[in-house]
Amino acid sequence: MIIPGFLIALVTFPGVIVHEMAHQLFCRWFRVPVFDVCYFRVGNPAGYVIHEIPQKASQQIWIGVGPFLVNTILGALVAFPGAIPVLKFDAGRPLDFLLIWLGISIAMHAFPSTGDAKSIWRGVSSRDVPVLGKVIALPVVALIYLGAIGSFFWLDVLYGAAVALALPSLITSVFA
Amino acid sequence: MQPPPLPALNCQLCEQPAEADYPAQLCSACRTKLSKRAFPLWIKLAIILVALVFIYALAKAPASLVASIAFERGQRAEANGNYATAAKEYAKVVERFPGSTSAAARLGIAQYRAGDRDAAAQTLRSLAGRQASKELTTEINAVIAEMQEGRDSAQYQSSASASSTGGSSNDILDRFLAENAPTATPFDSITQTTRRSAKPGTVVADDVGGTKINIPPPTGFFRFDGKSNRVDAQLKSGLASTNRLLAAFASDSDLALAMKNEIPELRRWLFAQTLVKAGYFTDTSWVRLKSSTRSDLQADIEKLNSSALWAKIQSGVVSVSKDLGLEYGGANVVPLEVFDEDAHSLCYAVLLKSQFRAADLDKPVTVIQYETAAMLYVHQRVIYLYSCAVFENKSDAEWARNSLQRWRDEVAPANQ
Repeated sequence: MIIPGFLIALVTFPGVIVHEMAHQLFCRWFRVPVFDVCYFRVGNPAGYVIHEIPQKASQQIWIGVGPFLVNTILGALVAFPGAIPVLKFDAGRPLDFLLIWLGISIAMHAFPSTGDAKSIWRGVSSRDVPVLGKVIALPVVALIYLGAIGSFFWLDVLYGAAVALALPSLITSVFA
Repeated sequence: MQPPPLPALNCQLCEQPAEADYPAQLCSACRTKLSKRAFPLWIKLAIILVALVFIYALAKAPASLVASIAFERGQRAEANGNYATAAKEYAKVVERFPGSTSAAARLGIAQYRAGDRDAAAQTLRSLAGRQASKELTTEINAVIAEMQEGRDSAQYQSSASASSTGGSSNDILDRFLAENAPTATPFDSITQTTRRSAKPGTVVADDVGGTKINIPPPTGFFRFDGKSNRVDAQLKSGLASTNRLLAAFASDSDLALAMKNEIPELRRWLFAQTLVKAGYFTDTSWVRLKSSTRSDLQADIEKLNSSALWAKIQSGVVSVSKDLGLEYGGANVVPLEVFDEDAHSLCYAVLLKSQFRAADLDKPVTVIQYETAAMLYVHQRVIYLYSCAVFENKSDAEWARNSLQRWRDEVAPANQ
C-alpha cells in the first residue's frame, strides 16, 4: 500500500520534530553552527537541519546518527508503559494508546533520511576515519542506509512498532 | 622568497576575524551562537509537553515492568504445574491491572488448579460480562465445568463436610456456581447450554433470599393456593409468621374444591415453604444447620409444642376452624426420625395430632397427620418441602415419605 509520505509525516509529526531536534542537539554538542532548521512542514523532506560540515568525520557521523539513538531510546521509553497494559493485559486506557502512538511516531523517525545517510557515508568514508573505525561503523551505517531506503517499504513503521511494542516484551523476558 | 600572507577572512555575520580551518567563515562568538541556536517557542512548549508525558511514562514504567515480569513468571510457573506460585505472580498483575481479563482469567485458573477454590470463584466471578479470546473462553468454560462437576461429586460432598469441621470452605465457589456461573463468563456458559427444560406447571418462587427457586409440581398433584381467598386464609393460618408459603399442591379433586371456594379435604397434599427472611447459606452454614437439625430434631420439636410460635399458629387455626363449624381443641407435634439425607437435603417425619369438636358430634375428633419435611439446600438458600397425609394406616406414612423423596429429587435438579 502506498501512502503519501507527507500523510505519514503528518500523522507521526512528533517523531519528525524529535528527529530534527536530535540533529540540532548533536550540532550544539559539537559546536557546529546551524544555519537553518525546519522542525516540521508538510512537504519533502518533512523537516531538516542545515549545518556546517563538521571538521571531524566522527562529528558528522554522530550528527547523522543522533536521531537514530535519540528517537529509538525516547520512543521505546515513552511507549513502554503504554505497550504493556495494551498488548499484554488488554487493559489499555486512552492515555496508554496515546503513549503508544507517541512512541511509535518517535521511533519510526529514528532512521536518518537518505540525505542524512549520504552525509554519514561521506563521514565514514573520509580519510580521517581509521580502518578500525570504518570496520566498526560500516555495518551500522549500512543498516541506517538500508533503513533510510527501506522507509519506502514501511521499514520505518515496522522498526517503530518493533521498538515501541516488541521491545517491552523482550525486556520483560530478559528480567523474568 | 616567502609568499605574501593571505588576507585574514572576516566573519560573514559580524566582520570580526573568522576562525580558521572551518568551512564557514564565522568568528568564534558567532559559531558558538549559531551552534546554540535557540529553539522556537512552540518547540519549547512541545518539549515541555513531551517531557511531561515522558515523566509520566517513566513514573508508570516500573509498575508496568513489574506486572509484566510477574505475568511471565506466572506463565512459566503454570506451565511447570506450579500453580500456587503462578497464582501468586498473577495476583501481582491483577493488583496492578484489575481490568485485565487475561490476567484475571489466568489468576482464577491458577487458583483453582492450586486448590484455592474460594479465591478462584471470586476471581472468575469478576470476569462476568467481559469479552475474551476464543481460546481463553474455552479454557474458562472448561474450568467452570470442572468446578461444577467437583461440586456435584462425592469428593465435593466430603470436602463440604470437612469444611464444617474446620476445613477450608467452598462457600464462595458454590455461591459463584449457583448464582453467577451463567453470567460468570461472557463466554457460552455451559450452565446455560445444559439448562434443563422446566416441568409443566413449575412454580418460580421469586425473591427467596434474593434469588428465584424453581418448584416443579409433584407428579399427580396440582397447585391450589391462590385460587380462593378462603382457602388461602386457611393455609395461612397454619403457617408460622416467620414462614412464607411458596406453593401448595393437592389432588385434582381438592383443586376443584378450592376453585369452588370450598375448603379442600387435603387427605394427601404437599407444599413448599421458606423463611420470610430467607438468608444466604454457605456450604458451611448449611452443613451446620443440617447437622444440628439431625441431632436436635427431637428436642427442637418438643420445644416447639410449648413455644409462643406454636401458640400463635394454634390461635390462627382456631379462627379458621370456626369458619368450618369446628371447635379446635389444640394440637401437638411428635417428632419421629430423620429418614433420608444427602448432601443437599435432610428428610424427617413428625406426627401431628389435632383435636376438633363438631357441634353435631358428641365426641371430639382426633386427626393424626403424618407429616414429612425435607430441608433442601438450593441456590445457597434453604427451602422446606412438606408432604402430609391423614394417617389411617401404614400406607399413608409410606406415601408421605416416598412422595417427599420423589418431589425433593425433582426440585433439586430443577434448580441446578
